Amino acid sequence: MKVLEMKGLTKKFGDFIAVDNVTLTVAEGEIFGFLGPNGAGKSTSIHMISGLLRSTFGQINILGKDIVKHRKFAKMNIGIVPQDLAIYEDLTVYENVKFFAGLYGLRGSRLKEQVAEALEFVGLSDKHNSYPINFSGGMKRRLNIACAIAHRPKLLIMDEPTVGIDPQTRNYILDSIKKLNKMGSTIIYTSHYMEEVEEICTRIAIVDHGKVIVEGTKEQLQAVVTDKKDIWIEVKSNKNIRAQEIEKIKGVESIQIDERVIKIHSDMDINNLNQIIQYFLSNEIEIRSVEEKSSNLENVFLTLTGRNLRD
Amino acid sequence: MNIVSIAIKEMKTSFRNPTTLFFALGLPVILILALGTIFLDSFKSTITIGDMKVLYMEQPNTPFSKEFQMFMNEASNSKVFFEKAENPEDSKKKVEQNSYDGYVELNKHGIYFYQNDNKTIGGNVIQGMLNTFVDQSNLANSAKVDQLVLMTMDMKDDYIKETTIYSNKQPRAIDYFSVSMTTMMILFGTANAIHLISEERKRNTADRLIVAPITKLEIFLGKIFGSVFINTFYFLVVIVISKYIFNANWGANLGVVIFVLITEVFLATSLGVIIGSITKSAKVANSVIQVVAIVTTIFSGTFYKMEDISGVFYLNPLNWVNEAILDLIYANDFSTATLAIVLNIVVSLLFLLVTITLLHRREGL
Ligand SMILES: Nc1ncnc2c1ncn2[C@@H]1O[C@H](COP(=O)(O)OP(=O)(O)OP(=O)(O)O)[C@@H](O)[C@H]1O
Ligand SMILES: [Mg+2]
Repeated sequence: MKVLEMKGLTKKFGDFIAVDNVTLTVAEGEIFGFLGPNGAGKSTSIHMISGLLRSTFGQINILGKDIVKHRKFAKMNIGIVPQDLAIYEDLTVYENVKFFAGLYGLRGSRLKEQVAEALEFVGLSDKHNSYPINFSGGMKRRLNIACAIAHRPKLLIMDEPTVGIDPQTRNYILDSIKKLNKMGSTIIYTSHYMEEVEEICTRIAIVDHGKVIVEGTKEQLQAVVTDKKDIWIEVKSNKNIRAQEIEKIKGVESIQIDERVIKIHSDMDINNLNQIIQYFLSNEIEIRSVEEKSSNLENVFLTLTGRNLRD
Repeated sequence: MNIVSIAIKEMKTSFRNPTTLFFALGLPVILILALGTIFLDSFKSTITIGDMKVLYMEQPNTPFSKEFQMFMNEASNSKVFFEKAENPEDSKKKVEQNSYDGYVELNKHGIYFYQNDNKTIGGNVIQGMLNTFVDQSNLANSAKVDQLVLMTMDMKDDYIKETTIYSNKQPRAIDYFSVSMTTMMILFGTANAIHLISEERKRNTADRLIVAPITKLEIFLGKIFGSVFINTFYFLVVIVISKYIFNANWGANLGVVIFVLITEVFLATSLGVIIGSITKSAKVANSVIQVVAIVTTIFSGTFYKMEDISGVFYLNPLNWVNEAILDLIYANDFSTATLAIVLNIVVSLLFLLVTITLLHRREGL
């Protein structure tokens, strides 16, 4: 069953086209990844699905029904985790979730039960009566999620739910998403972290400048760039590395220096590993480890747009 | 039901905000006590004025004639001199022309006191003295009538303005400021109301409210009701404290007084939301409300007693509400209260309608 259909969805802000003729379908049970750099139009699309923004052109169906004609039905079946924290700091954790869940028509013992369950789910059960004002970023993010799931939506849309949090909380959240999915929720997951999307999503759309540039399963997307490889070299210090020098080596297309990991994007068919290692050795840069990786989504994006996902 | 949930949430968040609590409860109570104490003396009628002349006429069988003679003798010590009148019509004319401060008619039912339309200070003093006389006579039962009544008459259309002996007790400082601080505090609630909607936007919770299966109107009404309820609660607390701890006089028509105040809360809330919705930023909204607050307060009898509110001053909501409440307490007069209630409700509904229209047009909250 199609949980969500977008047909020719377009949003203009004046002359600027933020979302450009997007057509996508999300089926029941999927964790659908919406991957794209800043300003790609991810949030704008989500705002149109959730009814926060009116589309300029196009149609959106939720569970087969047009959201304009069946506004209430659509809203009842959607849960939104907004990109920016949306919680009341002067209501307790419990009151926050209860208030929002209550707007979906839940009452009495069912309301209490589902609120408790949502809090349990995000690991805030022992914080019922705390005020979120003193919470860490990670705890606020978890509360932000709880507020969106207590009414048990069929479609849960998460707009970069892991922004600005520690790796531990991030893993916790990713695990929870998988668990929610197993329990029957269809999920749309927005991010510009390709590792996250690779880890949890069953299907992915990569968007840029408001357009879907490619869509498919992880494997399908990777197939787009089978002729490329990644060489990750961990060094003791990246002090003496000059990227331009390495780029001169035959086959090397781009270089990204991530702290002490040098990520070299290269042509698959040219065997240049020896030359690359030679560069490090001759410049007396101590190598800790070398890894050759097959192409990832980062590269898919790079190949298709000529830019990095994150600048 | 959604409206109720939103209203309750609104009340909770307001109640948990120490700043709001201070301005709504702490400040008015402190000001009532402070101003009530500071102005204690200036509110006693010790204004020295020149000699006052009163005409009086006595019907043949007035039972308390002797007592009134004594009263008039005593009054001369306070420079109030009574003169026997020739005929009523002539006397009233003289009062109207301000050659006399008042005209008193005595008969077996009580005392009729005619004073000039533009209530003069002299008229007020005499009225006060007559009041005391009536009170004491009734207390000692010396008037030889069941209940001696003082009636103050308006010259122009001769209708009875104040009819009971309870009327015309002048407010003490504490009484006056209990009223004026309460009405001021309520109007200042506007400052909170401008953020009713923008606060949700600031916290991004506006988005959550909009994506929930409720209408914008429900959100809006919930917030308005919540604000009106919680501010009503605040002023009720101030009334209780001023009435039972400071012994301020809130009069015999407290129910009507409270109703007038509720409509003022309604007015303050809708004034706030309309300012909030037509201004571009919270900063602009704040400046607007500050100007409004300062102007309304300065040109009102909030910090001093205005003797006569008329003309443009009546366009100030603080004045029309204060006047309504003082008339309810001290004159048993419902006409200004009715006018205030109608004004408050009509203006509020107008503001709300404009705000709802604006809100409806915009995407999001
Ligand atoms: N209300 C608006 N008015 C004008 N332009 C807007 C508005 N909202 C978004 N945009 C523009 O539309 C584009 C898409 O924005 P959007 O927030 O959808 O991107 P995004 O993919 O969610 O990015 P991010 O990863 O930064 O959240 C951006 O260029 C943004 O500046
Ligand atoms: Mg976004």
